Amino acid sequence: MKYACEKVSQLASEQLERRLSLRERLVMRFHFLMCGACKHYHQNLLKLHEALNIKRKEISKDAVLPEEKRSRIHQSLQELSKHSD
Amino acid sequence: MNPEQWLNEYGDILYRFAMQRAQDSELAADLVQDTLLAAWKSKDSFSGNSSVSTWLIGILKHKWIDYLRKEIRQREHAELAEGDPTAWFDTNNGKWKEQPQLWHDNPESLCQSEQFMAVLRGCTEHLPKKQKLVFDMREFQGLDSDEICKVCDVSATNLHVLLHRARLGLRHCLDEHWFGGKLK
Repeated sequence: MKYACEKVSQLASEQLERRLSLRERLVMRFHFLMCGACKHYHQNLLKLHEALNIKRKEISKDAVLPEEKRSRIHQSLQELSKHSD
Repeated sequence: MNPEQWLNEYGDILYRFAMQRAQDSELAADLVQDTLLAAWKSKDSFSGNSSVSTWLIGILKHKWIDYLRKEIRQREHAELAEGDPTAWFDTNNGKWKEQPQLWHDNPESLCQSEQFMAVLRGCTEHLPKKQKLVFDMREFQGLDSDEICKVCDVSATNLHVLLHRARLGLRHCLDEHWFGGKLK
């Protein structure tokens, strides 16, 4: 069988990386009708992907550049513009 | 146009983006500094076609890729052939040896659970080196496929296979240690 679970699970992963062709999408959809395992795997991957997306946004949401780091950067920028004038 | 003004106006925006990638305050601040220094040096190349913040973020993305490349070069070069996907499938008919069960938790609750995040981290630690590396860049740092290909100097096809294998491995590990699909 050409499109066994092994291949379909790869498509499920690649869907997060590139746009699948129409044919690939149909193959996947059709396979899901017959195969709960692959369907679940696909849904699990999407959940994990989404969870980490949210996590990343949360980490950075309220972050502000700390003052001591800001002034350090400020200093190095001043030096640079002095030299380049 | 002056760099201090950039720092005032865009410092926090850049820092937030840098935190998404680096997830470390010290490293993120360094990245902001490198970005602003590089931007100032190449200020003449700013075309004005995009907004200043888009232009600066573009530079920051490049800086991060440069950083990762150096990091990888310094470490031992990760081996390529690793993680046999046939382990998860019956070689005769290509079907799952152990069928994945649906994870019932939703993404919001998953990412808020520190325990889950710890288990996930633990599972990625057990992946083969190169798989761990690309999965980390893709899913934890949020780089896109193109960026990772540049960092690791692999083709898109290669990268997709590595990510696919990483995800297969993680699914198994998470089922065992978190979702309880198969505990025996």
